[in-house]
Amino acid sequence: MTPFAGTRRALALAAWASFVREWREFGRQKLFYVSTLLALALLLTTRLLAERAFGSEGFEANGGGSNFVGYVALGWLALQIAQQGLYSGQGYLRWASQAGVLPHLWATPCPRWIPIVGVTGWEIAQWTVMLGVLAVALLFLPGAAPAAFDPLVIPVFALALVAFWGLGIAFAGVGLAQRQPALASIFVVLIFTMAGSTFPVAMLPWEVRWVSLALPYTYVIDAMRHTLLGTPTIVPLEVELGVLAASAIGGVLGGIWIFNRVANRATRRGLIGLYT
Amino acid sequence: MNQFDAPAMRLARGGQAVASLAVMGWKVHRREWAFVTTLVISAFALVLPGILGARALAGPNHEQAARFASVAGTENYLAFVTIGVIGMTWAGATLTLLSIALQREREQGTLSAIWTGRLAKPLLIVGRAMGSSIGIAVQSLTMFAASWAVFRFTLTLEAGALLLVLGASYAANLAVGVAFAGLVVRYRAAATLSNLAVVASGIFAGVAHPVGVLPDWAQVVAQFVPLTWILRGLRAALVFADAGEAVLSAGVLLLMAFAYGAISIWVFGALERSARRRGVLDAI
Repeated sequence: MTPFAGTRRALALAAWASFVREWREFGRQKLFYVSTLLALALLLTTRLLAERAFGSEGFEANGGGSNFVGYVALGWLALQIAQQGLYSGQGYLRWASQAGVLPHLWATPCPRWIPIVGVTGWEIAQWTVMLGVLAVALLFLPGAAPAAFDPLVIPVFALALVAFWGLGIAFAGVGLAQRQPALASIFVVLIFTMAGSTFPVAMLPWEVRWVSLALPYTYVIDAMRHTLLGTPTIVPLEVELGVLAASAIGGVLGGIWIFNRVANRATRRGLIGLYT
Repeated sequence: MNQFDAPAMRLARGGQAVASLAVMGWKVHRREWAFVTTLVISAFALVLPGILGARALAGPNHEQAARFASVAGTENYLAFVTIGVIGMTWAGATLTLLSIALQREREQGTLSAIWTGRLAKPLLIVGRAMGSSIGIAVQSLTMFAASWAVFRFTLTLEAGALLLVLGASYAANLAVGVAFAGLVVRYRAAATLSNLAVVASGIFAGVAHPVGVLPDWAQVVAQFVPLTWILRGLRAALVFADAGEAVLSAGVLLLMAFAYGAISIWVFGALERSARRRGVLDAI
């Protein structure tokens, strides 16, 4: 019996310690924030120029609404947050291995996925701040301002975060047992290309649209756009919220289950620290 | 001075070292199975959002293609954008190749060791990075083939001109990349800044938009950006069937390779000396 077992406060403190460590290690690099916001500004500029070449009538006719720049900006940021959630656990274990602290981490008397929760929490928190900055920036960009602020965006975003988080824990586990795991990358590509980051899903032919509709992230982006830009939803909002809630619960429970199974298997085979 | 220090011998030794470093760089990559997966995966991730974004803007029945043609000179917007996105990805990857190679040496702790060699530092970095560039070329081809297979846009191939543009582009990118490598030697966050510079050059060069929609001052700046000529040459060879324009672009790119290469080598030397004076070569 480990001394931390069953102590919720102790588990929360262990996760918090990882959160703080991550902030101290990486969070204070101001250039990261500046470059991220600059990258976003550059991305929006390319979108603005593309819209200038085509006009926005075609996009509206495809069901994307008249605010193409706001549409793309929200899609991009939501997927960035998803990406952080998916990769940060894996990245953290790799860092711990390279820095030589993985054995200490493994010997900590708490579930091994707890530090990953803290790290992922930090990554998601900083991108959430970016989302706030983006929303403010869009207010000042002509033609890109959000139509309205629907408070429903908060539960939508919270559910999405939990879902990203759970899957990230699962992928961290896979990273323990495989050299250069590609599973997370495949998933990220799927959501970047098929979840409608730059286009309305409705314009896809049915041969590929089903892939988009099978991805929970499609509903995350769709619901966020609906609550901030007033775009029509793919399915009724209640259904989208249901999908999000199911993804969040399934993501966390499934993520922890997969992590524990893979971690145990990797420990038995002596792979811990070998591939991360 | 012995016979091995003769200029011709030094040149031969330098060439041999660059070749062996290039082979080593390629071997490091190709032995990883994940290398192939990553190539294919990133091929889709990088290109499809850009093409689908353009497709969405064009309207359900391509109604806006005519408006696009009035500034771009062609209604074939899918080929125009695909070449733009893949061209920028390829140029960006070869441009930052040297920086990444250097960063990797530093992380593995081998930077100080190779720094004590007798080969000129820019050659050393270029040699190691050239091996990795084969992977990037494969990735770009995969991206292009996949995009064409999905969207079936019309292409007009001027094979000779295309090869000329690709060769000149590679030289220009490596030349500019030496300066970025110098930044990595000196500054901690240089890799991030290099990526930003690549995206910014994409705005001037017209990745998913024709240069004609830029303000006048930006169109002037665009003429000095290598990526502008890379995309112009590639589109001339693949979309406009204009071999003359493609050859002109290749010529401009070669001139840029010489001019920017000379400046880059000077910048690299200055930044490297600064890093050594401050003792930060391996410390960042």
